[in-house]
Amino acid sequence: MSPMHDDRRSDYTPAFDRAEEGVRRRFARHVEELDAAASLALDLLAAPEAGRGELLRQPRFHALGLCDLLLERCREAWTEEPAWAVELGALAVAVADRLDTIHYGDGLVEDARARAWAHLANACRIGSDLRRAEEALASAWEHHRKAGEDAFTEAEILSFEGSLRNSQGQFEEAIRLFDHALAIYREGRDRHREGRTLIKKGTALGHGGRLKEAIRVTRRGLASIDAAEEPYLEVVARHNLIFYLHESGESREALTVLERSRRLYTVLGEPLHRARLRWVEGKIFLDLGRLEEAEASLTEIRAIFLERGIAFDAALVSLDLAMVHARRGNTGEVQRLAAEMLPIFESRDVRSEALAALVLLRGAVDTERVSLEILEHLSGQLRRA
Amino acid sequence: MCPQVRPSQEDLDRLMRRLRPRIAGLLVSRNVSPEEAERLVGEALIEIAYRWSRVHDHAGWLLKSLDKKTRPWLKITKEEPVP
Repeated sequence: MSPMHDDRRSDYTPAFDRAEEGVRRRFARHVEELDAAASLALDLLAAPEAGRGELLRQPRFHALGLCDLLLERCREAWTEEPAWAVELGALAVAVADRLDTIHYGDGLVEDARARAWAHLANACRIGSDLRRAEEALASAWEHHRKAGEDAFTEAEILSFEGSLRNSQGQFEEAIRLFDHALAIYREGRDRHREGRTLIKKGTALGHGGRLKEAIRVTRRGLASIDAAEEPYLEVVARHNLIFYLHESGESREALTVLERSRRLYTVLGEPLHRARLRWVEGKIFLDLGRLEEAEASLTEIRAIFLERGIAFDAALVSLDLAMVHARRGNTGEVQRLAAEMLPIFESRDVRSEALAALVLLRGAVDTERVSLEILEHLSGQLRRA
Repeated sequence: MCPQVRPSQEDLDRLMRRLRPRIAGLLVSRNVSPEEAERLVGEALIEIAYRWSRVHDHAGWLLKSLDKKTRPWLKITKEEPVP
């Protein structure tokens, strides 16, 4: 650097001092706003749905801190209560739309709008409203461009879009989007989010039938995440790993990982996580020919799903249970279970291959000739559906 | 560890102290006036304060943000006729 450049560098000293002083003043307001956000959220969420629009017209609710808090609540809700997460995402969008650009600056406001729309999109996807998710994502990208394209927001939108493509069966596109998000997280040295995205990429690879890669990527993801930051993520990742190991024929290894993970499920897992663990355990026992243990696990889990009204998953468990009985040659029970699960599968929109397998099962039920081969074929097709 | 939700004033001061020479270097190379520098640096600092919990590499983010914000000056510098 030349002496002239050194002189010019020092020209900025007063400018930096003034900038920092201005930030100090604004920062105090920012802290006050963050402190107020919790009580604003409480008022907003306690109000009846019809009254929230009226509240949102009041300027005190036009706060970035409130928008961020609603997004946090939305993330907390989307696994267990997707419908509530959609409402929270929509409220965050409504708050972001009303933020004052003079107070916060265009960049921050547009970025908040992009994140709010992206969260709404992901909540809609989890709630199976893929069309609304697609529309919300388009809005997220539009605001992101206006915001000046913050890298972390971009990685978040890419990751949500990847999950949407995964749900739409576009696995290769999902993998491409996750790879793009991964590059941003690596550059930003955000190891936890990198790990989370690897786990998501593992899901796309697994759904796409690339099981060995899914196992490798999920293991890398597990090694990168900070379990203290997002404890449930480790449960989900371990569950995926057990499932891919089982699906790729490594049932003994799957059982070993499952045994090592059992305590984690007990401590951290939600009741449904534990139920799904029992399910995959039953499937592994079935594969290993430990039919009594398989029957016990699957019967228990089927009752839980039926009690909670999760009919489709209960029917999938019935299919596994029917395979246990088929292996034992207990045709009466196979026939009964097949007749029971068939209408539930038929009521769903499934791919043509799975539909053909259902027609085959329908014929076998009608002629009382349900076999293990027919059940295994249907199971394989439904997994891909 | 869960990232800190919001920075303290000391966090922001420390970050800025550490980055002042590099930010000044960037601004000199792009011929940004001190007045514009005050506005851009203030804007970037407020933005990082709001994003504190979402960003792990605060220094990297701030430098990248200022790099983006000053790109229009890069264009002006390049387009200026060489005396």
